[in-house]
Amino acid sequence: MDQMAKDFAEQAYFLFVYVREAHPDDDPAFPVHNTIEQKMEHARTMQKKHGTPRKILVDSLDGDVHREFGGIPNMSWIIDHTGRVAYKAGWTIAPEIRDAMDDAVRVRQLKREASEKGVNFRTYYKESVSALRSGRAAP
Amino acid sequence: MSDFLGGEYNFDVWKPSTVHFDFFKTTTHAGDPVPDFTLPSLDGEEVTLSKLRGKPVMIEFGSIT
Repeated sequence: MDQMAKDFAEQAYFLFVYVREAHPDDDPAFPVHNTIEQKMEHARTMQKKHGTPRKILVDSLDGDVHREFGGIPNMSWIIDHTGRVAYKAGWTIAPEIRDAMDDAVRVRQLKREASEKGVNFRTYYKESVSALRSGRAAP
Repeated sequence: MSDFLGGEYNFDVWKPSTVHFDFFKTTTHAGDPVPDFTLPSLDGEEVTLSKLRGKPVMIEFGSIT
């Protein structure tokens, strides 16, 4: 995802929203958050660990933004240039995200040509479900 | 502390029941306006999603564990 953020640096924004620990029982260094200060500190530790070029935002202690978007641990969303949802997925799969980002950039260009040159376009809707191997019990 | 769909939002121990796929399917759908938010960044600024209009925005949610 970090390489993608660099590849799309001129064309898109990439944000990472740090939320509740998904597996606080896995690592004693990163237990459940009890204060916003602790949550901010964990986010800083994550930034140092991974050195991501993406802007890291920290959700409220009670996860207001995370809950509004669905509360899935590692979900990804792409918002189009007009502020509408272009893609949402309950897991972050880099090749899928790259395809969806290419699409969001292409659609922006298409709509620009439509308004400047009168090119016609048609919007369509799609949904999909997939699966991948996991080391944990299925939800 | 805050409740989320019948359990604590901030839990001590992960269980499959903490992941609510059915609820996720009901949140804002593709094609609809995204809910706006303002959150602090680690750079010390406040970032408002609606101020980023004009280019696509990719948002990944996650944690360390």
